[in-house]
Amino acid sequence: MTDPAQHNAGKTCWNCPAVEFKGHVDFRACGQAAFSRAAEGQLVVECKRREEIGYFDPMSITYDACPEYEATEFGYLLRGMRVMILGMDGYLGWPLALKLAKLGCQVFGIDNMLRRELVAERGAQSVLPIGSMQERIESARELLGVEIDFRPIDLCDREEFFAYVEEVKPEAFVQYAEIPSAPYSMASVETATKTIYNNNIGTLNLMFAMRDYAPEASMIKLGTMGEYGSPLTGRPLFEGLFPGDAVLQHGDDEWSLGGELVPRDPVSFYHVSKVQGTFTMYESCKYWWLRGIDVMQGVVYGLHTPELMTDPSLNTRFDIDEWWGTVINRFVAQAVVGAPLTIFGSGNQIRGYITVADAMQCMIRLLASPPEPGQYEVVNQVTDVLSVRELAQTVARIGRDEFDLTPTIQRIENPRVEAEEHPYEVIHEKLEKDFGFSSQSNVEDEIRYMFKRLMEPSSRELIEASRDTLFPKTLWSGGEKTLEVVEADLDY
Amino acid sequence: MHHRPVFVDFWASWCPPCKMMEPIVDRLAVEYEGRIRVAKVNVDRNRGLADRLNIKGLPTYMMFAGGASTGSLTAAQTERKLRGLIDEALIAGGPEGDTDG
Amino acid sequence: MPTRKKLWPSDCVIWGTCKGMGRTVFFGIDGLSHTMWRDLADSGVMPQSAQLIKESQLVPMRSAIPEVSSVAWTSMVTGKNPGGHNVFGFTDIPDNSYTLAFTSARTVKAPPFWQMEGWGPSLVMNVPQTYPAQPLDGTLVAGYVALDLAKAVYPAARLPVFEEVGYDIDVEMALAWTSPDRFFAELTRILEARSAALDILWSQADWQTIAFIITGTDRLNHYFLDHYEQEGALRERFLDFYSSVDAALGDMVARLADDDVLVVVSDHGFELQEKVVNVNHVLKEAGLLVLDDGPRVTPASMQPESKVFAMDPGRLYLHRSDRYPKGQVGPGDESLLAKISELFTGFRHEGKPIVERIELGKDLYDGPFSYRAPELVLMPAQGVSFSGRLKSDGLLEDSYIVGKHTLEDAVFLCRSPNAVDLPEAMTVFDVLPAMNAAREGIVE
Repeated sequence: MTDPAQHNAGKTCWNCPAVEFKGHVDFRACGQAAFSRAAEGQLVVECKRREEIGYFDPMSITYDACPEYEATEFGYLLRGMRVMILGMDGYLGWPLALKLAKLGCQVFGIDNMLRRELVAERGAQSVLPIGSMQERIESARELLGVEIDFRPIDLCDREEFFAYVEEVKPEAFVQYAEIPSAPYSMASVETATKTIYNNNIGTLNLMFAMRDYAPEASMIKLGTMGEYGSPLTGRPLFEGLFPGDAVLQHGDDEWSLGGELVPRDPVSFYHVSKVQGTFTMYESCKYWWLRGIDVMQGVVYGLHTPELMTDPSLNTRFDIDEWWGTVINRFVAQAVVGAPLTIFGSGNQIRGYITVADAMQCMIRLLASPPEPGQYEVVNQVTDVLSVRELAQTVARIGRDEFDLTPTIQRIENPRVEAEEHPYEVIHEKLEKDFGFSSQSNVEDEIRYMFKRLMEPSSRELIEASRDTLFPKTLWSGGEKTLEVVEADLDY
Repeated sequence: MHHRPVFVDFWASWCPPCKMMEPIVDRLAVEYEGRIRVAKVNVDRNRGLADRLNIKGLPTYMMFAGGASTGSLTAAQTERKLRGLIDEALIAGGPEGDTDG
Repeated sequence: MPTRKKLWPSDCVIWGTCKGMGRTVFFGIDGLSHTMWRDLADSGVMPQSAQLIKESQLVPMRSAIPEVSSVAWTSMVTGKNPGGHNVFGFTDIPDNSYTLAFTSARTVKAPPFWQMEGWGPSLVMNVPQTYPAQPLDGTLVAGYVALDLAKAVYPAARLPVFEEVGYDIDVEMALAWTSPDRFFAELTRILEARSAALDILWSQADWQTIAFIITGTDRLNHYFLDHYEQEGALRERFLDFYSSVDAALGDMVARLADDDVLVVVSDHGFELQEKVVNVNHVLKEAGLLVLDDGPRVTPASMQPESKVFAMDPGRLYLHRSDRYPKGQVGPGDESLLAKISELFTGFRHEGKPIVERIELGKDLYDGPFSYRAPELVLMPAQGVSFSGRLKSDGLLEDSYIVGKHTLEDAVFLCRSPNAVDLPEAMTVFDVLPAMNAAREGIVE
């Protein structure tokens, strides 16, 4: 296991966004320039931050020897790195903005505020009260002493987005600006179209913006473990690409599958849009020598980062309705107001999970260690692999034993089209091995913390007000209906 | 002077199979230690060499024995095929040369 | 007697207020050896040169040590030795780091003549080692190593002139072996573009100093010197290029008046190359240089027990504790120098020595930057070129290059109203003093 603060100490300018590729020079032939493919010579770069070095060999300076890099607990980080967060108003965008700003990065963000609109349309709202973006930025300035730049720009608005990128020249991008809801994407042709358009055109715009205005920046795109599906064969979910010793046999022949993209099996139009996003990124990195990391994130939950804990005015949004809430968050909310914890179908569906806090740590480590030019990297960002039933039981137990609640668990008809009994093995090694990640959370503590926050009067009231958005109605097969209870009062 | 055959792995950052094959190549390097040398050549940083050897696809695994190429394979390979490439060169190279000095 | 071309506007007040009318022209032909120039002048390939030589003083000149273009040109234009101007080769490692950088105009720590009192306004074209373009009283387009035309031109407002003529700083190297036909065509095109840019800029100001360097000759000699020695179609094209260079020189001479000072120089001579020897390989085999295992080979790969390493072409640096983060050779510890010298003087490849002699850095260099100098400089045996690459696969390196630099046999020619006293053995360090002496009678 790597020392968590040294995982990227040996990386060089080859991985750094501040570098500019100039060409090849052969000093055996008096520094002659070489532009064509057949040329001999030394690849030279210039550093945009340290112009005075002139042309140099990019492999000859390591992060730990470079004055532009600062040692942090997450590894060496480019001083004042310019990071642009797409979707900064969201559940993950806002905590990341705060964390990066506190680490000394220059944080820029955009958001089209669509999430707030769509949640309101549904008759729901964030159950942690949140102010406007301007108010939150003001609080961050006062309470954390950081400046965050925000523009209300839609990622799908090419002109505005390109202009902002050209102005800022980010050194890293975080693509969080996608509609993340599977049930939403299945509700109607309109919502499916909106999801696919927003997510794919947004990512496409980002790739072109990088190509034209920030080709040495790295990008981290939020993908989802759901891209892989859950193969009934029990094939483990490798991290995006087949390992070198994976072999395909057919008839008498065999072929190596090393490095090929692993099969995708998306279970909703939202997941389909993520799969396309993966291909968009994978291709663009190859065509344009871009640096990209595709994060196959497990279901994220929790609300517990040091920055978020500072003050309620720094809250991130917290959704609990059927369309916009993630399962563990929903279970806690249901327990708090005495609504039944709803398990879809058998409850044996297994997924990977990760807390917001751990996800933030991962993202920063990934930002600190950009890939090489042209490299498309994939990580499975998961810490715990659990079944829905186990989670419901854990939430209910904690609610009863520690918070004097009387939670009930119900199994209902599954509105989704998905396998309910399936093997599920997730390979999730890269973040630990290559990026020094070490989980700082555990499921039970995170659930406890959520109970504490959601039982505060302000939150409890908001959950009550959204009560009837808690129970799922949306069918994958189209339309809505009142789902039947298959088993009431499960033990826990 | 070393006369061991050389296994050259041509790779690039934008080639995912190249990266995924690394552990296999490393494993073979350990297994054949003392009998072959293993070199990894990044084609973007060594374009002249890559071009002179006519590297058209990545990864390319090339064996050299006695100063000439004894064979090459392009694309990710099963371990079996890589061993085949190496073993052929060991046979072609004749009995083991001098031990390392 | 050439008449002065009226290049200034007739009502130009400058005409009356110039202290002296004489201009100084510094015309360079990179890599032109004294021997070859005389041969080409005598054989009719370079008739303008033949005429010019008759009217001037021409002597062979010794280059700098090491005999690389960056060091030689910088020495000529600053009048200082590397200890004074800080350019010791094409590559440089900034103090207390392992960054392998290429020298540039920023590395040069002494002013070139166009930055000196009384020389401006200056038109400086294609002097190697002047990139990125630094401000001056005049116009400058840098010479190699320069990969970005925009940063090679000062002032930026002049950039359109260069774009208009299709200006290129250097010829694409790979053409030499992938398509010799195109290589020669490009050499000619680039020379023509340079001359076209000169034509346009010549009349745009009242230049007191003009520096114009042709560098295609160096590239040509590196890849095709062997064709100079043998009959064949490429020999014709080789000679044709030198004829074009001669015509460009003739054009320059035709612009000048009797009281202008003209200096024609080259930075080193040329001879056929037989082999390229990787110096670091020798050091590694002797256990004096130990690198980290692994694919990445840069100065940062040197392990602390490394005692010495080489940089292009034959510069040797001790891995000193006060210069390099992992160095362990004590400051002032010279005990290794004798051992290293013996290693190289005794070294044989196929029975032949690789080194002709070894120079001590402290004997060669003096000035505020001499602390950065190599401790030893290997002077190669005839036909031998040294490579300072850290990564080595064996003693010898493959190369498409057929011609290599020589320390001796560069060119110095001076035509001025008053004859100048030149030293017995002219060196690149004597060029600026000679120019000053020539100008003394002309410019106050």
